[in-house]
Amino acid sequence: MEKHHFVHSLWTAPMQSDKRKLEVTALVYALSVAYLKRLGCSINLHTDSLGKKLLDGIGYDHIYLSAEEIPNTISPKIFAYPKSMALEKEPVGTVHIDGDVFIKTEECLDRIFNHDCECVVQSFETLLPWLQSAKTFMIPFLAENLLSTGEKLEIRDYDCNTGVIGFFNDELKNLYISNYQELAKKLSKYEYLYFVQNQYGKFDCPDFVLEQQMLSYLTRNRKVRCVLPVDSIPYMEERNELAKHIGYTHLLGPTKYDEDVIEKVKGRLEEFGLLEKVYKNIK
Amino acid sequence: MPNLKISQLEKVTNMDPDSFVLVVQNGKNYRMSIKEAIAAYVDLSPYYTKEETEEALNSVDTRIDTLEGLATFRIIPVSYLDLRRLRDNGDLVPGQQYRITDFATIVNSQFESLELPFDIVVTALSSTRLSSSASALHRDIPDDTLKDFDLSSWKLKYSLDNDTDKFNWASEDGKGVIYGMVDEFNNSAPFDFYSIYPEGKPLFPYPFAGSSYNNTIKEVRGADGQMLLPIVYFTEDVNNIEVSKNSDGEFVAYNVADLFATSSDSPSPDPSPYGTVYYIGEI
Repeated sequence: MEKHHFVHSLWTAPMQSDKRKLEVTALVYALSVAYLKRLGCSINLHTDSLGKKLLDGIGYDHIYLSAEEIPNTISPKIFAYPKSMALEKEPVGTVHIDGDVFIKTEECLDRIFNHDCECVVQSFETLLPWLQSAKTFMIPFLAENLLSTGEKLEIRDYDCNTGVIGFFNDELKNLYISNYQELAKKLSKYEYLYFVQNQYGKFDCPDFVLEQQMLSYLTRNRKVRCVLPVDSIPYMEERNELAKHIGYTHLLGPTKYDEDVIEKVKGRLEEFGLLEKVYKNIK
Repeated sequence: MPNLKISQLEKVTNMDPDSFVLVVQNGKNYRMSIKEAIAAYVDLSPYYTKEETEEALNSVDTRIDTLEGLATFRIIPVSYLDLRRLRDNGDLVPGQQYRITDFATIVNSQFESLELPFDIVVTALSSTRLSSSASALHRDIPDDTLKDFDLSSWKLKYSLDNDTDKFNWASEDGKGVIYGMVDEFNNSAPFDFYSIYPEGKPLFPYPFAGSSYNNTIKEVRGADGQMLLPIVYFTEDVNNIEVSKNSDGEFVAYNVADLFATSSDSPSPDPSPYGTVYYIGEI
């Protein structure tokens, strides 16, 4: 049976001055790889030279220094930019997962592959009210700059969470990548790129909208599947229960920096016999 | 035992249990592995000898007696009783959505219900549990009383069990219980207010359902915690609905909107630097 193929991406430029972030990144990425390898999957990494030093020898099938090719016109605030490069360079049918995503079961793999769709994502999520920049800036920005769709861009009432993102259709893949990269270049010029504190004290993330809201728009008439159907499940306890039974984990946002979480990750790495290797790389 | 035909579109070429075949049943396509096909009693005799099939059968650990037990990615239509059986037998597929195609609110002899027909969609959290949150869809029937309403925007709280201890209007012959409903006009009540006549006074189609908005009927409980169908009186102003005491004489009222809120212990994901610890699944 053909191996399922995944890819990670990592751009260390946004975090090079933060040793703690680098350490945590190495730990969670290593665990993500370990789980995939346990299932017999293949996985490549697209990163820069520091990323290669951090993550060499922990299980990737190939490590490419694609992030070294990121144009200097791209702001490091668009930290997920290498994701688009990884998808671009890998064959259609490759699935990108965030480094803090763990695919742990055959069942979860089956939710990602082996079905008739053009794109797979982690989940559909209701557009959250704290995404103020979406309404005040990002949507007009996308509407003005989106390439060759010819249609009026309207805010979608849901985002596609790209903890998992994979294309099974060349045309859609190329459409997403070309738009993402072109818009990232333009967005890099704007002051809104910096984290902005809004009236609720929340930090808006324009690049987040660029990645997820745009995907929601581009896939509006396409066959899109989600790994975790949480859009119909508002309760966190139930979402966790579902994720647990599917065998899927995503350490969202700042969660991965929590001490308890890090200890659990280390514990798992120990079980896989990888903890020592990861810390050797970190040093 | 279903007699399922293998589609001529995809010919079986080997007996590897993990290789895929396309099975056609009732005009619908199911893509599954040989192992799954055997477990679902698919007739492979056009392709294999009896001995080969029996040999493969010995490698199958479990049997599934309907195709609906397999992990497909569409919403699976089921009758209420079939869904109960799947749940009770531990045959639910985590993440799979099931559409109950024969739902109607059936109440015990103390109360009245129009038993308006519409379908309910629920999501399985595990092999034995369904999410308490559900959605509604139009049933494909002539003379659909609800045809002018946007059922897809409704939010429901639904229990598969006809728990008469929990809900005083439940019937043992029921098809589960709706214990929370919000319609597209943001009217809400702790019961199916389109079907049920509280104290013989219908809320549907008037004064709810399009004629007014944002009405809330509060949840009512007896001293022992049982949810009670509230007694509803209309004042002269039909937009001002008054809830009185029930026949037990005592009640504690809760805001129905709380039934649909996300858990306060688990806020929605926030990728900002100040987000709380929140991850989906287990490490």
